[in-house]
Amino acid sequence: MSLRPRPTNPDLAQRLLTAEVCRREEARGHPQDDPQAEAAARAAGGDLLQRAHVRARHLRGSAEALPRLQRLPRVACRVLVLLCLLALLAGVTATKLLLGEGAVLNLPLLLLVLVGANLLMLILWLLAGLMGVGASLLGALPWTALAARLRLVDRSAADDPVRAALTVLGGGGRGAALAGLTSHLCWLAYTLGGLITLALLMSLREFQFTWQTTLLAADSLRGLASALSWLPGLLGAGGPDLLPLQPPMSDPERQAWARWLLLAVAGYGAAPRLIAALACAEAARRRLSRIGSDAQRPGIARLRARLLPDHRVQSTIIDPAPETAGPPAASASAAASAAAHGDARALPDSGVVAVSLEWPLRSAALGSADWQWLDAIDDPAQLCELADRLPQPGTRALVLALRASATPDRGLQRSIAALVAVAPVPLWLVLGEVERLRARGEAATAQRLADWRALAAQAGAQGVLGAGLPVAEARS
Amino acid sequence: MSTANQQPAIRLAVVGHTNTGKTSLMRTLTRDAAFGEVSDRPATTRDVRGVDLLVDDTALLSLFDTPGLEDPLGVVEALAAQGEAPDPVARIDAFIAGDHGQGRYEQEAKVLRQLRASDAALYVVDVREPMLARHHRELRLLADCGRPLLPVLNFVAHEQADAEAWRQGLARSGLHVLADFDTVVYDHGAEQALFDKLQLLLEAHRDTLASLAAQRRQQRGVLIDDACACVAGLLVDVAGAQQRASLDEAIGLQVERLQARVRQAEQTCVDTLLELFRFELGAFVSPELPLQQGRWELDPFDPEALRVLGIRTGSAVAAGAVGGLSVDAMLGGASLGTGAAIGAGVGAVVSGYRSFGRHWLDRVRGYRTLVVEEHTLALLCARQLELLRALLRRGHASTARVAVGAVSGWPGGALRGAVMRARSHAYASRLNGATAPDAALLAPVAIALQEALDARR
Ligand SMILES: Nc1nc2c(ncn2[C@@H]2O[C@H](COP(=O)(O)OP(=O)(O)OP(=O)(O)O)[C@@H](O)[C@H]2O)c(=O)[nH]1
Ligand SMILES: [Mg+2]
Repeated sequence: MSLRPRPTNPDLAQRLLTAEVCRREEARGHPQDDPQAEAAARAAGGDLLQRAHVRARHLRGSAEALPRLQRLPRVACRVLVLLCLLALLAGVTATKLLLGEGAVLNLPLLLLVLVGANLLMLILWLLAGLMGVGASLLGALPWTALAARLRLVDRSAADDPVRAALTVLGGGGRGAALAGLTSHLCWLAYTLGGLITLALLMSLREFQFTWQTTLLAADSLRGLASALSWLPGLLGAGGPDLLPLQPPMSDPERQAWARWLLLAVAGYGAAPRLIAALACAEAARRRLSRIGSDAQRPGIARLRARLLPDHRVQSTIIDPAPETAGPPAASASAAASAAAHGDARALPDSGVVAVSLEWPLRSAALGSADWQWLDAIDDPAQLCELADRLPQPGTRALVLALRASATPDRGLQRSIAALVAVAPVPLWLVLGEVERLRARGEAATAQRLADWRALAAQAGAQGVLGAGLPVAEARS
Repeated sequence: MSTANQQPAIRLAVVGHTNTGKTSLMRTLTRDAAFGEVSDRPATTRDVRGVDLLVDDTALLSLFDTPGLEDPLGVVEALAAQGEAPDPVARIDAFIAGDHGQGRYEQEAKVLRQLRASDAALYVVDVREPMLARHHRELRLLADCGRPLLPVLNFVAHEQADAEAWRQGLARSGLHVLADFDTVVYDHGAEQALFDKLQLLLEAHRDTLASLAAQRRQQRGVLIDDACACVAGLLVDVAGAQQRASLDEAIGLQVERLQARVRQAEQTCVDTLLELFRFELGAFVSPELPLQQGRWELDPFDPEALRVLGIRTGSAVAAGAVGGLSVDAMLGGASLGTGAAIGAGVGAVVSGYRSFGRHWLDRVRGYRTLVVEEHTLALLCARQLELLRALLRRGHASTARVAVGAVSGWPGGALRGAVMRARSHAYASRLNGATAPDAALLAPVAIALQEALDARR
């Protein structure tokens, strides 16, 4: 078992960095070659994604990008807190201005200021979301502009990692979710500011409440009031059914209206924003967690061989190759000498004895009609006994038939050389079944024939016949 | 301490006559197209080199490439000349310790030494060649090393192959368990069978071999998934690709520009595929795409476009109506539902503009938008599918370029449907500047690709 420390879950900055590296390398078509980063990733262990994060962190150029990306969420949080504080302050100020003057408070007006604008914006936001306008409006642009103001983005660099990160943060619906979260939190702060001020002032001072109106008839006013009392009613506050709409009011009636007001602001103003903020936070969380976490993206998947190797070539060669480089048959000088003297030697017209080695080759198709064929020899070890079997008088040449597609190896060469040494007459090689070799391609055929010639030359044979060159031509 | 440096559990030598594909087998089993040297000549490999197969960074099995046996008869003679020995294995050990026939059988000695140092050997044969007397001698020599041998019938997919003759010949040498495994025409099932057969030979290492086989199965699955995702990404990108260009410029030039971008995307995809499969880049160069003409943006009667418009308009109408209704509610119903009606109308208009209006407006402003024709998409899709099939059947020993035959038309209805869906989602195309592929569009294409692959496998 490996005792490596378990890699920790990567934070957002790390995942943004990985996503950006991935995008950049996908656009470029190939991964950056950085053996050190890859070695670090392999050493870190874990699955492909975890290793891809480590690699991204160790790539050249990431050293300064990562701290800047890590600053991004911190700055964003600070900006958010600041905005919320401002909104809170606005809520406090607006409420204070409304309550500060008179001792008679107009309930519909209070509600309109503390809740109406809030609700209207919420409805607009919902509409934008449903029509799909939000995502495109709140793409990367506003973020990039804000980040540039805060000097997070380096405008001069062509592929600044922070700008790229902002594009990623703005894409795929993330920008809309984050913007939604910001706006909901601000409105929530505004409403809470109002609510707190309301509670504070109403507990310190004495106020009268009224539903005074000029335009609406008493009936419509009552209808409106009871409609608005729906939610506070659910929360336990009495509505216009129990309480008078105009002063004079008794103390308990005023207290009841005060409670009604607080509950109405909380229910109509704070609660929907809270719910919407939670929904947006959840959506943002889900969408942010998707950044840099798709191991199937080509940019990450293709790192598998580098980061999660499934084999390793041993660095030490167990048995090194001998000093004399190259196979004997491959040496250029041998091939040259073969060309010089091998095929040029003419085969005698008569007194030719032929034998096929290892594999019976059809004699009629090979060589000339007046060759005398011996039984095939199926084992190179028997070659030397062949010399004794040669019909003595009149034999002027020996032809050894081999399959052209066989590999001309050292074993065959040694056997042929041994035969040459004991044979009383010169030896030629003839290649059979050349079609089989030709079927493997032109280049392969040419190479193989050259190798046969080189072998013949090194074994001391006179030359190679067959293999496309007609015997008669070789004989002349 | 990492366990990476420990001795692997199993040591397996790859032996055989020269030029039978031992190094090729190493390449294919290790998925390493750059391992060693491969050529159609004798004595290409002249040293012994090992590769560890890793599972979770731990080396479970070492494969050793050895030089080819060239002169087993000479070795047999040299062994006989050594004189008496208590048993064949001792004789081999004495040969290894000696001067190898004055250095003449150095190469063979390396093979025997490695085989003695291994748990078992894969004996690679070229089934295009007949089984000859020297092969029998060679086998006897190897058997004398006292290690189990698993013959691997290489070249079984070759037209000149005669595997049956080898089966019979090997049986006469006492080898009845053998593996068919062509190193150039890869067959995943054959590789699994190879590991199964090794389990028979190496009882003591059953579990290790089983986990290696399991890892390979899993890797194969991941590879297919990744490759399909890669091709799906290309198809989504190209399907949604749009090029906005001035009406004043010749359309031919603009189409060429679009073609160039599509081709670039295709080549990038091909390169990624080659990298996923770990083949050398340049193993496949896609032929020219016959991309005759870009079609005018978004055919208004394209069923998918209409469907998308339907959904968008539907939801926008509803959203508008809800918005209107809430305004109605806030006004205490005094507006008598006009808000809802107006809202719905606004919703429909916004949605319609978002779908088509922009393009019509562009047209008026003097721009046209080009997209890739369906015919071209179909071709691209069919070709990538063929390429996938070819890559899945390619061994890492292959030195020939990947060849993909002529293709025409969509490979299947499901694939067509999935790709054409992406057509109406231009925002998701990386060719239009998206940073990451859209999972919702990509997944159906990837699944359809897998099904198309399975259908013919
Ligand atoms: N068509 C085809 N060619 C193959 C196959 N296996 C190997 N080859 C080819 O056969 C030739 C020999 O392959 P190598 O892997 O070099 O053989 P080797 O056994 O390592 O050879 P030496 O190291 O010289 O002993 C090369 O040209 C390979 O491309 C196969 O399964 N099919
Ligand atoms: Mg080799």
